[in-house]
Amino acid sequence: MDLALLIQTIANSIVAGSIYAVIAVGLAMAFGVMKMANFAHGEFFMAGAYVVYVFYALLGWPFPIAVLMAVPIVGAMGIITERLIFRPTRSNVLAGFMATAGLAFILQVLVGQAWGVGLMRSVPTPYMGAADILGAKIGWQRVLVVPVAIVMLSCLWYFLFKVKYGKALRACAQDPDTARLQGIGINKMTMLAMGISGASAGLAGALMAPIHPVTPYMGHGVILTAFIVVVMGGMESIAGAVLAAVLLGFIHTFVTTLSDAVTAQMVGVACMAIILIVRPEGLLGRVKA
Amino acid sequence: MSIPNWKPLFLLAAVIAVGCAIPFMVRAYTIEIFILFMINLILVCSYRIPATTGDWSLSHVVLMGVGAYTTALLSKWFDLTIFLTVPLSAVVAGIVGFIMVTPLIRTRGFGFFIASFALGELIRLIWIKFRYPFGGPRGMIGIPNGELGSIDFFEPMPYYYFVMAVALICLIIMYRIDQSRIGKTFTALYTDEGLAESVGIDVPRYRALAFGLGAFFAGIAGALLAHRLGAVDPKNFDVTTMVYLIIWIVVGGTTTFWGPIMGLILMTFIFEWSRPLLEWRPLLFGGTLIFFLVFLPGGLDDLFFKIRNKIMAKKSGAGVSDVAS
Amino acid sequence: MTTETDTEKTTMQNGISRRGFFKYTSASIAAAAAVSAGAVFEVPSLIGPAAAATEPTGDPINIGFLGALSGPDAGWGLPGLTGNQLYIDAVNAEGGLLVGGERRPLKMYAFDDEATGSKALQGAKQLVLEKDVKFISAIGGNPADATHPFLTKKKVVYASLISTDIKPDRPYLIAGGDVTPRIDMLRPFYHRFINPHLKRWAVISQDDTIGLTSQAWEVGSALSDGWEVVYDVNYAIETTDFAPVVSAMLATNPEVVSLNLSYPTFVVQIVEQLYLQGFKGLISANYLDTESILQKVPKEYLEGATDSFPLFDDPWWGSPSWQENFMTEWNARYGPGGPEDVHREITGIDWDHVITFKVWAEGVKLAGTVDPDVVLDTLRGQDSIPTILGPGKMGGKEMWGIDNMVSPPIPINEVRDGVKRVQAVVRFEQWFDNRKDEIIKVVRDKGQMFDQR
Repeated sequence: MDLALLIQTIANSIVAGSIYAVIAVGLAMAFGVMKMANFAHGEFFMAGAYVVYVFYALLGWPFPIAVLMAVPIVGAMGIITERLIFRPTRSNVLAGFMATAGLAFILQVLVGQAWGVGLMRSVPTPYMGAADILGAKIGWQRVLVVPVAIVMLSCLWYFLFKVKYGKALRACAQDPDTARLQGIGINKMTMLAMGISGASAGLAGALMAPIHPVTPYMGHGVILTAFIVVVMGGMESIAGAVLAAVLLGFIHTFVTTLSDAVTAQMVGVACMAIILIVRPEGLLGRVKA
Repeated sequence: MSIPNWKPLFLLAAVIAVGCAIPFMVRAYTIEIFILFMINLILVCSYRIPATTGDWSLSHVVLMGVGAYTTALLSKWFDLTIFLTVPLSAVVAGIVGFIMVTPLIRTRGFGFFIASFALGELIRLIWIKFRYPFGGPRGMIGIPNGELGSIDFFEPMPYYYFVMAVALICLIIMYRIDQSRIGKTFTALYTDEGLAESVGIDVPRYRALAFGLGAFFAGIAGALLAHRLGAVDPKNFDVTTMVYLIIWIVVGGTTTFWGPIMGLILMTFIFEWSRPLLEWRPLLFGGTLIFFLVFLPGGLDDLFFKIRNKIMAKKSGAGVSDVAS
Repeated sequence: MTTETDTEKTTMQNGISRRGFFKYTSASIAAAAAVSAGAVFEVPSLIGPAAAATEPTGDPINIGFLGALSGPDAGWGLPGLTGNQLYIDAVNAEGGLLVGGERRPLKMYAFDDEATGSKALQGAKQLVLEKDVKFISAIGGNPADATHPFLTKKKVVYASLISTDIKPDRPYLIAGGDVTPRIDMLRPFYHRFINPHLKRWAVISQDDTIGLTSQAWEVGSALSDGWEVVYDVNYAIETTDFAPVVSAMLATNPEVVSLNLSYPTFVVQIVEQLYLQGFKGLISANYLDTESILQKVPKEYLEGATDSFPLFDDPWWGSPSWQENFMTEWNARYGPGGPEDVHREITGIDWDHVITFKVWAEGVKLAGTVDPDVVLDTLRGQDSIPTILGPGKMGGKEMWGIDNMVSPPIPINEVRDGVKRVQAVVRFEQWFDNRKDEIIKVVRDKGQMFDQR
């Protein structure tokens, strides 16, 4: 691999890692708080992309506004999911997970009926052209992902460590019983967690809408990667998810460039399997007593 | 050894009689639907075996695929008759299942679910990546339909009887396993693993056995499917198909042997009757899954169980209801 | 009629600009083609005032549409329903297809096979056993492989879009609508003339049946036309991020990048990457969906790119013409504000399936029966079959082992100011005849000949 290709691939990897991080962080957070595993996380991502499709491509609103619209809309979807699916199945993690598989079907059909299944929707690229970074050419649209991801993750960090509700969320994740004793309402926390989970997935989808073909099934590819990242990082560790996301971004991109996308998928899945077997708590997860 | 119970045997005979009569009463295409139904019957009952030990997996449909791909390879390389490919494919699937579960033995519940998903996907990606010998994304074609002497299984009717015979044998075997001591041990692992361990049951070994058995029968279903389609395709065995299997199991329940069968029957009816709904169908199935998981997590057989107990309690008058085995 | 090779020799001797000469000669071929297509087999109701409606006198003939109506492959399937339906309605307006003196109305039944072999077989069984279809429009590929034993036994004609599905053990599988892979074989030839100073040809497409076979034929042709093929790779069909794919290709410094038979959705992403990564050379593909591509790259970038799916409002076809009428009818019914508005622009696939459908219908008319053996033999016996792209012929024995390929002339378009315009229409047979041994050898080395798959 010559230097130019190496720089290009590193640049591609950073972009990939950023997107994986934004997607996976929401999943890790939901799982951390009361073990809500969302099979439809990929569909939340898809919903975010469609929000941009509707507001930007169809209605002509400015791209940044369309992206911001995805946050509350998909966040609300997350909250509804918590209320209707996760709360009744709280005692059974598997049941909640499987029920969200049903939710995934529902979302795919609804979106498909509303905006047409079949041909992919094209979202115009708001920022055409490429940045030239040390000889590597990255589209501005992709470059945008990195600062947005950093801002989003920083806000999340600030929220979790400096804001009352965020600290309550962390307390709930670490020890729900003690948290309850301290007067923290579990229901409020689970709603909050799912809201953030949905919002971040929606934001990721919104950013990717001009980059990724927009179809009702675009969540398929996302969900496996998201779970690999979360498992590798440690199921409920947000920091772990970020670390694993960047790692996986590099692994996927390099393997794809050197070999092909299928091999990259295989390597990713193999990493996940190895972690589960050798160190089930993941890179940064806590070993449960 | 108890006195032979006439009722179930009579019921079995009746079912067989009806099964034999069906091909003469319906259109050719409907026979195909019944063939697929019986293949799914084997699949759905096979999922229950590891599920009774508490191991719910997301890799079961891939194991069916292992059976299907093995059939494809055996037919192409060795030109074996269908009477050999089916059992051999089952054995291979069983072995792969056994190998798969070994590293997962330290995980349970959700961890097991996700880990099985990962390993299942790994196998599927191997089929997609390696054009030789698995055909890559195109899969493999040219699998013979099978024949018995001069009877060609290309025609739906002969194949229907063949599948019916295989399904009957498989279900009877699986039923016997369920009723046997091994079956009881499986259930014990789920109900109270700690207790089972303390009584001296080698929990990992039984879990692995259950998983391997489930994979074995899934392999049979896969082999039968491969011969019917004449082709295998990695898309047949992806996560969407796996979710459909989960729907059948959840709707039916796993408490009794008949649960998954009931779930399959109900969902097959809904599947065929909802055809006019076209693209809305997956929404219906997703909604059904959510409904059952939230309101009827035990499935239909748990529901009938409770209803039956209520009726029996009323009959016997007392407040205590017998827990039927 | 001048052959392509004569043209080459004359051009070099006279020193006339190759481009001008080539275009001129092709123009005359194309003009002749357009005229003959217009005159011979138009269904009257499409070209002029409607003929007096007749009542059907025979039993209906059912047609199947078995293709991807959802999922990533739907781009090749779903739009085909509109074109087929327009044709069917035109035929039914006259009472139906004229078969042996009877007017038999046509009816189409669709089944979504999601481009999966097993679903396709289920669909084939349903269409044949329940609806007794005599003809099936399909995309091809894996579904063709899975359904052919059944369809061959049931003697149902299956029209694939891609010639690579044709094999001698599939007597009722015909193809050619997509002009694959002949298009991809001729584009290196076209570029050899208009860009004679270029040497380095790169080609990529997805790694399914369709991509692998047509890429093999394109590579063989490029080599036989003197190109240096510097990059020849099939990317995984699951690829969602084309940045690395394109990076690897551009590392070999190609002058022409060909996307071969990449699916429309892939083409958009690949072209976007080419633009972003600063590729300055020529772009060539089987099918460029310019509307979608221009949402990702500026108009100037696409200037001069080539493909072979002409637009029907291209002045090239002339007026009146089958193409113009089709556009008008399509826009009236499926376009904005129409009664069955599909909320999108017309694409090449809307009429692509009609090519082979019409050919079959012609064959049925001429043969006087729906019996597939008679129909296909009749078609093979014709010197010239009218198709919507011009007069065609059934052939292809050397390429596929059996004469089941419908071979209309092949248009080559260039993008001008964001719009595709036909530049030349080429006849395949003569060009191929001079090169077939070389090309077949390459395809055989790659293991993609019909008897190797």
